[in-house]
Amino acid sequence: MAHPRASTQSQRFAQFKLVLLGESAVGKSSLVLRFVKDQFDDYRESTIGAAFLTQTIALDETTTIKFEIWDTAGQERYKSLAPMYYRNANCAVVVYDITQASSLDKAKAWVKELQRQANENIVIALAGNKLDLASDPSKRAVETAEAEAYAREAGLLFFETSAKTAENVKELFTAIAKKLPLDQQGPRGGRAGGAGGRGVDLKGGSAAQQQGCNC
Amino acid sequence: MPSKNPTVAINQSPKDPRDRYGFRKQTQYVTLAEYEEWNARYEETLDRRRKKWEVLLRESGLSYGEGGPVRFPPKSNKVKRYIRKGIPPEWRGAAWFWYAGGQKVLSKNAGLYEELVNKGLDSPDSELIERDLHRTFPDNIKFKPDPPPGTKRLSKVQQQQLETPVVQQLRRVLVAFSRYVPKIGYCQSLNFLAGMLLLFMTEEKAFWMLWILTHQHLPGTHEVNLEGSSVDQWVLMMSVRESLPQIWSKIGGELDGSDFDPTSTKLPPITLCTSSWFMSGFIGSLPTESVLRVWDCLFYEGSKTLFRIALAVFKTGEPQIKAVSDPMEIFQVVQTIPRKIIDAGALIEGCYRRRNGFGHISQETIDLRRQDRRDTFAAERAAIAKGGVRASKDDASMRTGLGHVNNGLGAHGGHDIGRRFKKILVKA
Repeated sequence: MAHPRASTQSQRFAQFKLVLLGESAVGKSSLVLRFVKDQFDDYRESTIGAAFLTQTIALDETTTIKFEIWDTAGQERYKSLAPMYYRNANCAVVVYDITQASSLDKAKAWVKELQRQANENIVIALAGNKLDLASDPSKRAVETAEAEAYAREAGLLFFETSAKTAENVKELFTAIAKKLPLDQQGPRGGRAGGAGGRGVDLKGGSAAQQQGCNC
Repeated sequence: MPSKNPTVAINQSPKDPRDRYGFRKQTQYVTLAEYEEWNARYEETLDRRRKKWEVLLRESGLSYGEGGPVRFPPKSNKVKRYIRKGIPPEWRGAAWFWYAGGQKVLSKNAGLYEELVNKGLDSPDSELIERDLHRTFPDNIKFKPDPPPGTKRLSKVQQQQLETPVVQQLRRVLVAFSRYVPKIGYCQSLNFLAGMLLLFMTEEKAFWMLWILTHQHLPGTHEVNLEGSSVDQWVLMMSVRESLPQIWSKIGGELDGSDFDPTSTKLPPITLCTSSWFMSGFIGSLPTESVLRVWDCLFYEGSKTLFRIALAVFKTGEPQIKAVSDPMEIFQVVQTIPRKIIDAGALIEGCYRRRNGFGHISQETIDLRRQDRRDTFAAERAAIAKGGVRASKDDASMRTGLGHVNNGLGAHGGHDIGRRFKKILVKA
């Protein structure tokens, strides 16, 4: 842990609220489980209401990010609860299932709602999950290029992921972390609702984000 | 249609990784050692209680053959005490059905369930139901059996062909229910309620118990706008505020640390954790035996049980809750507290003990508060229909009566209601 460079550089710690949205059974809980516990169950109980989890990652030698994650229930009728989750969120992962074309439509609706209702600077990532199933080409219902084009147009990060094989899961959350405004400082625990998160610069340096990651 | 009652194993071996209902003993929150340590003592309690129940039935002139009793003694303080100490697991289904008034509903609707099932398995909600069938109790052997040793991984299609009888029953119950009660249709969490009932009774009885649960115990909770859920969460929050002020000071606040405004009708964010307790009758929140002990009381005593138990859960976690300093940490703490309450007896005792218990929360209080809250929503809807409430970022949640709601509705403001209920409580 104590990398020689780290001791001389500034150390940063930031906490960000992340919300997972998307149609039911696209793999939201599985993505979180893979990210937080590095586990996978073929059959995961459906999420009722919501689950709260945290995970801390080292972005580079000097930067630690803690995600506070709201994993939400996907059924349409729970949608009215969503504003409570995304109201103060700094980032969102909107998930669809690459084998279900309709789940991308649902994802697009979520993106629209977030862009209209959530914090102005919210970082949104689109995740096409169940990539492992694409080994059978007949199962894929959403082409990568199609989703990617949409994501680019809407200004989203984009990954195709597999919670089952772990492919791109860490990459997804790391990419979000890198895009979050670390330099915007706020007092720890003073939970200002703004999208700036609660980046805390422990030693006062500001160039930390530039090293170790080529975003 | 299979009509045999499901069976519950009376004794299980400590070597068996599953409990008497078929659930895995070990969970993410309870180790196998913790389970066995508790269960060794609990088995003794069960034996003792079973003998007491046998005497009670004999004294009441009721028989219990191999299939167990069908009729149970009339309600009394003694029976209530017996219920709170736990119904023998193998009699549970029959006792729930008896005391919740299942027979009355079933007789009035004789043949209706079969008719619904005979209409086939189409429902506007079929797709949603199918998605959840295999996500209901995958840790229960009756829902998802262990693959035979040495078998290779099965494809999804193969697994679905191996569907167990209880999964097929669950499909029929949920489809029939979604058609019979269109204002609810299918709501996630009904799969767990119905699935649990199916472990204890025939599918026809499970169907009617699901109807009773969703209409009498959790009115409106599962309806499309989830308004009943929001109503109950508010009632619960008011109860915590009065009964557990120190816990309230930790959980009642906003995410930014600001205090709860008693004049607002807005729900505190902690309800994001607690709403699932009610929606699924504590399934998935409490360990299995604790859920079943709660349901024993619920079907005998009514919906006040849910509020009393929720308060007892908070009370159980008081030390952890008080130790929380970070406003976000509270979610993880509150979410985890019930999952570790393996000692079902202690939970129930804590709930009903005379000093610092919650047995004083009356059904009358709960019902009055529910009604007041419903009135608030009705008034709000009327105001929105008139265009009287300013559209804001929150209008989506206001429409459904959930989430952040502006209060500008005069007589039904939270403060007034709070004052009124204080009076009721004093009276009680």
